[in-house]
Amino acid sequence: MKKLILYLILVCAAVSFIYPFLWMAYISVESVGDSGAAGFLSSFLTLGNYKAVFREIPIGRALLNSAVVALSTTASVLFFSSLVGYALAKLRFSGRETVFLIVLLTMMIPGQLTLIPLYTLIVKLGWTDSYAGLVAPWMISAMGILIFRQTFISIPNDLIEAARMEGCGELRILTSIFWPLSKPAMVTVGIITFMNSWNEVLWPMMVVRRQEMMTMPQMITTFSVGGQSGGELGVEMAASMLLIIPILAAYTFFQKYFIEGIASTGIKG
Amino acid sequence: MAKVIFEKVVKRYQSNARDTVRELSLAIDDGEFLVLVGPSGCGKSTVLRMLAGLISVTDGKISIDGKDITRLPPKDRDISMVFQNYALFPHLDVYDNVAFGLKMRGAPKNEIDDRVREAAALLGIEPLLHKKPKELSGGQSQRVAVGRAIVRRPKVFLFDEPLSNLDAKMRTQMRAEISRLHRRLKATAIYVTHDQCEAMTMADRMVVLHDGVIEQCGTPHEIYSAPRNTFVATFIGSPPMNLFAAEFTSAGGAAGLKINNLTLPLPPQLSAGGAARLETGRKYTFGIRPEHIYLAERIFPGVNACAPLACEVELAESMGNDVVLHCNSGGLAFQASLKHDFPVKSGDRINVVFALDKSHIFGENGERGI
Repeated sequence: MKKLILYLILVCAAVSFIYPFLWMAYISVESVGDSGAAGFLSSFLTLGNYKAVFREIPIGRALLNSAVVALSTTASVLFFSSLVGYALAKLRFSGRETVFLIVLLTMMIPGQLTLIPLYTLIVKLGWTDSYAGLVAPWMISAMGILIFRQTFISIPNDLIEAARMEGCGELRILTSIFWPLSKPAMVTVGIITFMNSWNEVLWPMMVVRRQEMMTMPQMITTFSVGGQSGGELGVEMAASMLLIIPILAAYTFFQKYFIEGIASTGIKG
Repeated sequence: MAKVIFEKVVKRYQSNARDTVRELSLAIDDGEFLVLVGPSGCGKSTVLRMLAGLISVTDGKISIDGKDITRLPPKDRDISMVFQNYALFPHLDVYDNVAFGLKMRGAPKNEIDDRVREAAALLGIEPLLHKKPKELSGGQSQRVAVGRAIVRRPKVFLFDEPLSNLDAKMRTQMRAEISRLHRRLKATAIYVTHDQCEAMTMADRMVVLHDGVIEQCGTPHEIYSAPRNTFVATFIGSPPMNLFAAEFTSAGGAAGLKINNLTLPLPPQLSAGGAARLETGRKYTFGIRPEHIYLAERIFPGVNACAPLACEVELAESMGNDVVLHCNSGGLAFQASLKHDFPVKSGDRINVVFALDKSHIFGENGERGI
């Protein structure tokens, strides 16, 4: 009986989480004019809303921009954060613990506080309306450093010493030994970074004005809020669906490693 | 191959701490199998890791074939090392583990393949080449680790307690395999262990370390039969050598050593003129190995034995081939190791003799030299 009640609660929780997504998916394929009026399966299903999105805005270009920005950010976070994580976990140097504390401290600072200084810097560098402006401020992450440090600490030092004896330098040890042995951490940091970068709206809004440099969320926000969608809910939901598909695909593919990574590092996603 | 020389090498981990290794000077000949042995914390692994370049040298110089390698990074020293925990890369299969060093050095693919297969054949690990380390037993992992070390054909091989994680049977087997391999490769090898049995059976030469200092360096036979001090005397040999506080006496014209109430005649190596070096009333240490104590009724002809000593067997430990007796003779406690064919049990009273020609005399400071 206890189990049954527990399962009922879990099912309710699952439904409450999944319902908005199902609703969004349904509205995005509902024929224009019926949007959300009478609940599920009240009218014919159509891809018209998706066609409208592609017709009204350069969504293909925005998709490309988002992919370039999110993939570059993810790749650089993986590289630089693991580099720092390796140094903090395995190299001995004075001030190591202080550096780690400073890294932790940066996690306590709300991102909004650094937006203005960052914006000023990007303007001074002349990187507005460019991929550099979108990627550069997020090329390393304190959360990534923390996850990599915790993962790397558990890798035996004997492996590093064996690799050194076999001719590896530190960078080679990181890429040839630590990366393959830390797949769950790599996937966790990768997915979280990709997701954050892909969903980012505020920063692109600040540094990008030209439509051809806009990312997906920025363009969809502009499209919905700016009035281009004509208040059509179906078109807005179709645009939103296009936004979440890559994230869902990535998560589905790497789910196993993601859960393993979160569990092993003791960090909440 | 290579000659390795340590010149006054010092290792201090923290500036205000005492030296872990103190002015160690040692020359290891080309093709020699040298074993560093000593109790935990004596600095033997530190010596090995300084040679490997895994830790820095505080002072002194290490050279291989005349080339100063003291400050060189590990990869430039042309040294291979077998670790205690094997240190196989878990994400690579056996083939890639063995080939790792060659790949890192950019060796051509066909050469890597030839050398890996040659090493695998030598070690009998060919059927394991496509297995991951987690699928291997301890002995197999150890063979793979040795394979990874030999495939590069380095100047010097280092072994850091490589057999300590294996069971007794596998340890004996691997010990023989490593010795055979060394004879075949004729490479300079330095082997660290705290197991004196490994040291005695494998070494061309042994170095006994204690508190970062070389206590004695010599062949296993030299170290066993002529230990330089009481530390070496008790560290090498199992059960350890019996040591008794003794006093030189020449009362009544007969020179001897007084141990408790017992007076032993001088050992033959001292009685022929050597007694002149002993001083009446000075403290000495008399040492006799348990295997050089015999039952009085079973003494071998030609053994220079003392008068029979009556004692009680407090404990008899059967070791299979031998039996170790914990004896007590009027407060004088000692261990004797006898062949198992004589039935002795705890509580028995027996008569034993010391083989004086096999005994050792150490000075007051515990050093030989008398």
